[in-house]
Amino acid sequence: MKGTHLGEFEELVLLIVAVLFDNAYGIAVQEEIAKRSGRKVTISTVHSALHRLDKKGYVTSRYGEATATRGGRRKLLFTVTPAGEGVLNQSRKLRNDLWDSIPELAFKF
Amino acid sequence: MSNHPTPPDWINRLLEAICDPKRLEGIQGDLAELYDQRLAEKGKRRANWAYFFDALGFLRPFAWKKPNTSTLNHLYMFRNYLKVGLRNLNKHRGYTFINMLGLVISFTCCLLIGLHLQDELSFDRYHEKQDRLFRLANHSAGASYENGIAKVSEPWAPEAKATIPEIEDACRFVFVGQSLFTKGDQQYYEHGGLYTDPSVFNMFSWDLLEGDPNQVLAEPNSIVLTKTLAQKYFPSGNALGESLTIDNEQAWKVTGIVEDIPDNSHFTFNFLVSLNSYTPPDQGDKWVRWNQYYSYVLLDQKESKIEAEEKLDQMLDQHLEAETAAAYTPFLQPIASIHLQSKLHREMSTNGDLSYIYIFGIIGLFILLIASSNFVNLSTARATHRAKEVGVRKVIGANRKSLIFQFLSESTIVVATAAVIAFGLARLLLPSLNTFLNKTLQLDLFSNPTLLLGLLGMVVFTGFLAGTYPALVLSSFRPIQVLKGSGGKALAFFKRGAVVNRGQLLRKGLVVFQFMIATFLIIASLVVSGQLKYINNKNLGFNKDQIINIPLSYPIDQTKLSTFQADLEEMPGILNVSASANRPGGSDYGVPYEALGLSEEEQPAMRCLVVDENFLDTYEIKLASGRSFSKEIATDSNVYLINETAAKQLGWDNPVGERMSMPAVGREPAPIIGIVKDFHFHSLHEPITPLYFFMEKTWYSQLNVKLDASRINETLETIEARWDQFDADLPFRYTFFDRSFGALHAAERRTGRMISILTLLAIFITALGLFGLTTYTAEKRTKEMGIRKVFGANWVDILSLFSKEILILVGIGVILATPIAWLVSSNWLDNFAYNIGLGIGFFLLAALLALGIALLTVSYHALDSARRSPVISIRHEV
Repeated sequence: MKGTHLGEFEELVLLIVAVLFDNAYGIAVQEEIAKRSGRKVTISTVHSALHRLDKKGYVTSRYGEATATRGGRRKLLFTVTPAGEGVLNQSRKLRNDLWDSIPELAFKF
Repeated sequence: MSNHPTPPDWINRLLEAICDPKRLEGIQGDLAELYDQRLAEKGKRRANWAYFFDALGFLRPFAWKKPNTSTLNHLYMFRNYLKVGLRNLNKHRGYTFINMLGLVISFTCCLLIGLHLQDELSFDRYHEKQDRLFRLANHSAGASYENGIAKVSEPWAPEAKATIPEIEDACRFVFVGQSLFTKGDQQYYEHGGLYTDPSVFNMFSWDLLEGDPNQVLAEPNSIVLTKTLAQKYFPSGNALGESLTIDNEQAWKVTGIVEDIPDNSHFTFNFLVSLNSYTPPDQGDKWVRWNQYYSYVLLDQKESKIEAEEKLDQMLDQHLEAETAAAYTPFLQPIASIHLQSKLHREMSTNGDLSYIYIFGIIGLFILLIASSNFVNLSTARATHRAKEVGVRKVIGANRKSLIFQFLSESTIVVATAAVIAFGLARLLLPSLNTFLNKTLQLDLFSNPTLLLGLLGMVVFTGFLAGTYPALVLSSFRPIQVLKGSGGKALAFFKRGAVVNRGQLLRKGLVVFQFMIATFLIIASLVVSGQLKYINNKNLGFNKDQIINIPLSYPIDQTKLSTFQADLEEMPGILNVSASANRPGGSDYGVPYEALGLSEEEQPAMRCLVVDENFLDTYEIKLASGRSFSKEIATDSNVYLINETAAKQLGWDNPVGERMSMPAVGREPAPIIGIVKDFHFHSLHEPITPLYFFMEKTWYSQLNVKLDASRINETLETIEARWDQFDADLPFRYTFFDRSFGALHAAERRTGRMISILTLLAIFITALGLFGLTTYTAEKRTKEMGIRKVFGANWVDILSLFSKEILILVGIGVILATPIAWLVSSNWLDNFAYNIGLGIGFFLLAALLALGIALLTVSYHALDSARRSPVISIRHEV
């Protein structure tokens, strides 16, 4: 197994999976990314990131109900795992700690 | 819904082929959703393009199908493969034997050839400083030897070391000649001695066991013995500091013992003596005369070769007359290149030849390829027999990969077994090869990692090459078609199936290829043996048979010699006796001459033979005009004979009566009294060059005795009995002239024989493969032949049925081989100044042989099926 390091884009995708909660599948994640950050990414990039998160154990996947709009195909839905939550918290804590340690003078330009 | 546009189908199929089935639905769903969105927004065309690019993004490893994590027990399966493979080999013993035999022969050949080549390529590479060691040689414009001469005169090397900064060290060698060693009552002739400089052990990495490497040869009359020689004279082991008497003259002090010189050296010696005890004869200008010094230099780095050569040239400009200096081009040869690439005049020993290295390498590869082709041919031809096995395995769950693995491991087992047998066989044959090549090769895998790797590489290469195609063919069978119905039907499938057609094409191609190589080798060996026969039988212009050469000691007691000569002449078994300084095929003095009244251009480089009055009669050399040397005429001690080539090239209209002189050795101008017919006094590689004869009693070093063929042994005994009265200090020794002269072509003769043997083996393996193949065809067509016989076919029809196709294939092979063989052979023949020329006869004979061998091979089975009763044939089930 490769490392468990969380990349910047992976973190973004993981957060969005959490945001979308019960409806986190490829297109939805792609649209949410575009909406929230203005980044245009291809669908395969999203899938690739989700796959990596899956391999690292931060998300799990399951197939949802069949839909008519997708040529009868089911959606592959993703949910954040406890490990995913853990890594998000860790990352958030790191940031908070860092923000707290920045001396006031640092941003006085 | 029916009119609703859908994404291009082929892209979906592509995704299905590539993507992991677990993710496929999600991927395709997402793509479809996007497609519908875009369809609504931008129209069908743009949506299609976008779909295409989106799909392209999924052609990435994360989305690929994951390899089937097989649950097979590999070890167990391998045991099964082994068992089935061995059973199969055992069942078809004939094929196994043919395959094995071919492989064993080819591996043995390759091993031995490889060993030989490895040895040839290793020459002189054991010196630590070999990349900086060079031999100093000289090329002289207008000399009769076009490549240059391997030795130079005395002062070159020391002067170069003193004045050229790039040259760190220098060392010279001069042949000692045979010497009589005396130690107590032990007395033997020893040869292979060299005078040399004290720097020798600094430059060359010979292992000095005892003695100080910097000092061993510094004192005059010092001698360094090889271990073998030291043990011979000092069996007690304390040789150092002892002394030996050489040539009944002087005591030489043993100052060092050196390990025996490795065989892979371009020169070798049994003892070294200090060069400062050597006095060259005084012949005038030391810089030009007496080119007897093999000179080696050690450069500061190998890149300075060109600079050093330039400076050597400048050095000669300083010390030589302008004219001579302009004609001379000194050059440096890397020591490791000498054995295979140097073809200079007066090499230290017979060198190898790089082209022979290529020839043997290529033949080895050819033989390997022929044997591999057999393997491929027989395995694919017999694929049908194993179709059912493949089918059953597939049904039980074998995938293609494991089948390929099975067949590859099977072929590797066969090849590896063959390699083991070949190794044993090579060890058995090695002693005879060593005798033949006059080498001491050893086949020891553990001390020779290159060879071990080579053998392993050969096994893997052949196993893979020979196993891949059958493995691919066999593993591609479809289980249902193979298993449905009887074996006969399965066979019918193979006959029609594209796979088998492809297999047949390959088989035909390989047969063509094999016969192409075989024909090529046949032509090559015909040409080589033809040329060798030509050399042996060519009229040399003199008679080389029944002459013995007896070496004489130096200096010669003239009165004793003439008494001895007179005694010999009276012996009944002796036809003629002549004393001379040299002889045809031996060394020839490069003493310069002057032809009076001729300009420089009209005087070609000439070699000379220093002889007596009987020499021409002894060797039966014919006179063209004028007269020969005569005992009755006193002034004949200073007259000359020349050969026809010299007469043509010298600028005189009528050379007889003209005068020439040899100022370098103090001979006054004297007339040319006759012209001898041209004869080959050198190997047939060289054209006949200008030559002159003169008499110089003090130079004589050998007797040439022409014997009566009917009583050679008795005569030799009588001569020996008389010898002690003539020279008691020197043991009686002789060599047969035809043998030493024949040694000039020893390399060709050896190569010729090796090529013939290898060709025979190659033909044998080829025929073996063809035999196996026809066995298979004959078996398959048994029924057909039976039916044909019922309808009235006789044996001629059946034979032509079998052989027609094969003969066409062989014919194509022959046609393809001809131009290549022509090119290679004519190239080789160009090495000889006198050669047979490439007649069409060789090619016709080779073609006839190839076709004949093919026909003979095929006809065994053809006639066998023709003879068999149709009743039995028709009942035959495959």
